[in-house]
Amino acid sequence: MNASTAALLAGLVLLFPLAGSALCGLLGPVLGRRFVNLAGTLSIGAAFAVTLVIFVQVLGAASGHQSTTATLWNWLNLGPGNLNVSVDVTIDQLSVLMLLVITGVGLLIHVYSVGYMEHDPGVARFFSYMNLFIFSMALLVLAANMIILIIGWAAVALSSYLLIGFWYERESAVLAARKAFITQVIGDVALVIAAILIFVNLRAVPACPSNEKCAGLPQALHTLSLPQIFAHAGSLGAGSPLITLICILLAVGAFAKSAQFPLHTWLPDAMEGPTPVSALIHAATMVTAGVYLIARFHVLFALAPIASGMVACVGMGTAVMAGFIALSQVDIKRVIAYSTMSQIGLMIFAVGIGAYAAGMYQFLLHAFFKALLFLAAGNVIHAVHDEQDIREMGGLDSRMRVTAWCFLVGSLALAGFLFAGMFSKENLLGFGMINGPGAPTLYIVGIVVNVLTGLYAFRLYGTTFRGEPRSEAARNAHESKAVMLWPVVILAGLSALAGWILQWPVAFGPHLIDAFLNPVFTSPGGSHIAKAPGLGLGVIGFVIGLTCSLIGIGIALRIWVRHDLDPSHVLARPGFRLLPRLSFNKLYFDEIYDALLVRPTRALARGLRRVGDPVMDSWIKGVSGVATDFSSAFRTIQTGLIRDYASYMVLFVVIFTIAVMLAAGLAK
Amino acid sequence: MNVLLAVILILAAISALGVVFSSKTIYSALSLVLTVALLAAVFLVLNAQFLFVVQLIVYAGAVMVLFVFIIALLDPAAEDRPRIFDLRLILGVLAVAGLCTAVFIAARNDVTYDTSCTTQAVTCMHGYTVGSLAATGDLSADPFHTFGFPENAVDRAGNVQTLANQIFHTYVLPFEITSLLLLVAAVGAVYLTRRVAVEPRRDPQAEERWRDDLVEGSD
Amino acid sequence: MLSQSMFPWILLTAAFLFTLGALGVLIRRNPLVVFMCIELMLNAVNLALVGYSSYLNSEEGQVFAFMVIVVAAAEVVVGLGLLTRVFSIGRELDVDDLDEMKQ
Repeated sequence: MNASTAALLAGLVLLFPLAGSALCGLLGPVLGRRFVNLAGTLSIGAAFAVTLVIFVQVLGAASGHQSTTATLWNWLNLGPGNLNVSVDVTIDQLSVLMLLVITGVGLLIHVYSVGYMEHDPGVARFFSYMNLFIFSMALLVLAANMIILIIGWAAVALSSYLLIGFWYERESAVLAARKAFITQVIGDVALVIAAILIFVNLRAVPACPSNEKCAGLPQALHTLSLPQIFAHAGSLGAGSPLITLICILLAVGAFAKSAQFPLHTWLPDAMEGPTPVSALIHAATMVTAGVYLIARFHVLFALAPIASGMVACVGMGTAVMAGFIALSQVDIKRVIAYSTMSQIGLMIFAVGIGAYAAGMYQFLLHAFFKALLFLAAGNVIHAVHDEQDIREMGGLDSRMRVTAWCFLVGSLALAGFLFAGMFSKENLLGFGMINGPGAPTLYIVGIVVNVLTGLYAFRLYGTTFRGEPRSEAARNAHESKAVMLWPVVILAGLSALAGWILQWPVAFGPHLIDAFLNPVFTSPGGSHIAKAPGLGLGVIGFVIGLTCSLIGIGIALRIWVRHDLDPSHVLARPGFRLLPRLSFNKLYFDEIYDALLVRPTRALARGLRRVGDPVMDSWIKGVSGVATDFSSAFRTIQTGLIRDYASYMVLFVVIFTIAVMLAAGLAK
Repeated sequence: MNVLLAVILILAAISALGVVFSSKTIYSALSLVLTVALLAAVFLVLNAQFLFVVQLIVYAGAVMVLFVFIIALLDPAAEDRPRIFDLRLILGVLAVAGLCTAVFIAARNDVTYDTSCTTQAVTCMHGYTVGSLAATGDLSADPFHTFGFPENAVDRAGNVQTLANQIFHTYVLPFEITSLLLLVAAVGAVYLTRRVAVEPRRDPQAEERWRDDLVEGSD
Repeated sequence: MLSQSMFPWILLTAAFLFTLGALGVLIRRNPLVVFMCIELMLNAVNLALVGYSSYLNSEEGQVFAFMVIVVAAAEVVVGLGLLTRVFSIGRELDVDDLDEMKQ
């Protein structure tokens, strides 16, 4: 499509949620709940409709012309050689895929929220913040200029802060929001430093025919426009320390946003927010922004293999760590949160080894089933009157049939059998067999993750839905109402079918995602995509991975559904005794950070205040004291008597007049 | 003419002394009326007929009347003994002496605008520049006979027309602004002298009855 | 119109009236008289303006004098209104007494 259409459509996608946010925020308290429900949901619906239009356009465009960059307006122009930022948007397969999830899943969650927030007095504020989030996320994925991307990045963090701390009267919520925001600021700083490095070092490499000496040094480009960056990325030096540093900084930003080790501690606490928030932000969209970042910057990462390798290791490491922790958590939302962390770890791993399409496929399917799990969990929490401890649940499958079936579909999708996960996870693990640092080491870790995933997913399902109800609330639970069920059902359908339709992890079968996304990652200079495993290797990998998932599911079913197996005697053995405690305490990360970072900072602040306050106060008081003394001295002129004032006037008029006349006379 | 002028000026100076040094307020007011009238006469001698009339009507006829009325209203017999041995008095006398001397000397030595210019420079007087009436002395060069008035030109065009042309042509903006100023002054005067409204007495029973009426009426 | 010999005397009178008015503002205690002295100053200015206008054969001085008369009239109205109010609330009409602007 041409640039003006792109600009128009992108502008609409950005405008609708922003307008919705303003309307709900400003007019919501005046016009009431029904208006807010309508406005907040319709705005996302409109954005989704526009996204569908864009999608159709991108699908229908000729190959090689599927990517369009358009400028909405020129925002900042500080002159040649200085910063010049235009609000540019890029519409290509990658951004349209992200937009489909953001607006589509976002729409479903907004509809769900109408029911979930039915009794909450702050509903106008809620929809305003949610729409703001959609806008920020859309801005982030559409941005074609790094400054705009960073703006979207920071706005997403802001929306997340507002939404996590939505119930601001709760101290735990406020603390969690603060923790999330501060952790993400670390990522923001890393991104800004990366941007500065790129800005300063990017050079236009002149075309140099091989049989001539290139005259002159390449001149600095001083631009942060993404197409320009990618076109001239070679000037940063392939494999050089500079580009490795830049990619590491970008990766740190991605880790902060996607809750990967070591910046992961904010995600479990972020469950303090309402469940739709967790579904939208902490499952489907915001936490995947890191994956999007690395995928978008694939040109740079391809030139820095050390950084990519680090990314892959961190991703897989986080996946395993999170899976381990999820095994012992008792809050239903926290289990799902750690599951998110683990699955995103797999996505990060995929984009780290260069399997970009595979990583985005996992993102797409994960958005479906993770949002499904969260929304279903929300139904459960509502049904048992805001109890979130799974030890107090049980026996809900007969009382909440639809939700239970959907949760089962979601769990199977997560664990990777029959539905979504089976396709996306095995797809990317297949790439891991022959790509990545020390291949197939990470692949082996990956299949361990499969086992863990199966274990904790079905532990969750079994404990929550099966067995006998373990509390009064669970006994009296009943199904949720339609507006909260339909999104869940739709997501369950998507989770079940999408995998079968879109892409199979073996060499035969449909490969729609690859066909759609691979052109983004292929430049004229060559493809940056990792090598796909061949037919035989792929089938073997798939079988191994699936078997491990089934092992995990099977063990979980035996322990927590059929109660045949009791792991306590295994865990009592000397080497294993530590494991449950480590898992339950999240590997003590919060405590470590508190001791290393928080306490010293607080002590420093206290010390500085003791030393610095008197010094600062004294010289400021000195300055103000001088001024006060001066003014007291001059105040005596103001006697209040008009005659005194008149005397001054007369005196000076006379002096002035005589002086002027003398001067004029002398001049004459 | 010169003698007449000198006499009027001396009389004006004397009545001004009366304004400042009279002990009774009403005497000061009457002295000021006299001064104003004498100045009006001076205007007439100086060929400013319009101002002569305006001075008499507005100043002597309105402003001074207002003064006299207020004095009558407030305190007609007020006496006011100015302190003689006051620093301000000494300052004032010195101011009078000094300024007058300086002005007189300057005037004698022609320290004033350059009267011989024929260009549009800032230090020139407009009267000489436009229409070149004064420059050439040719009356037909100025179709309105209004710019720059040597004696015979004013006799032909009339002082009022000349002034009117300036007021409504060149200086129409200050003119409009002064009309706004008058409006502001009128509003200010009305506001300053209004009577402060008295709070209506609250009759609780009356309010009750009224409210009952309302309720009954809505059956 | 005005001859060279009489012009300085006009200016002298104007200066004399002006400074006399200033003197009056300084030493009189009744605000009404102070007001009248201010009017005297304004008239002095008018005299100077008209004198110049006549001497230099330009009517701009008269236009300015006209404006001055208008402003003086407006000022008198507001000022006397204020003084009336001061009187009506029972304050003394004495400029030494009305020193609310004191810091």
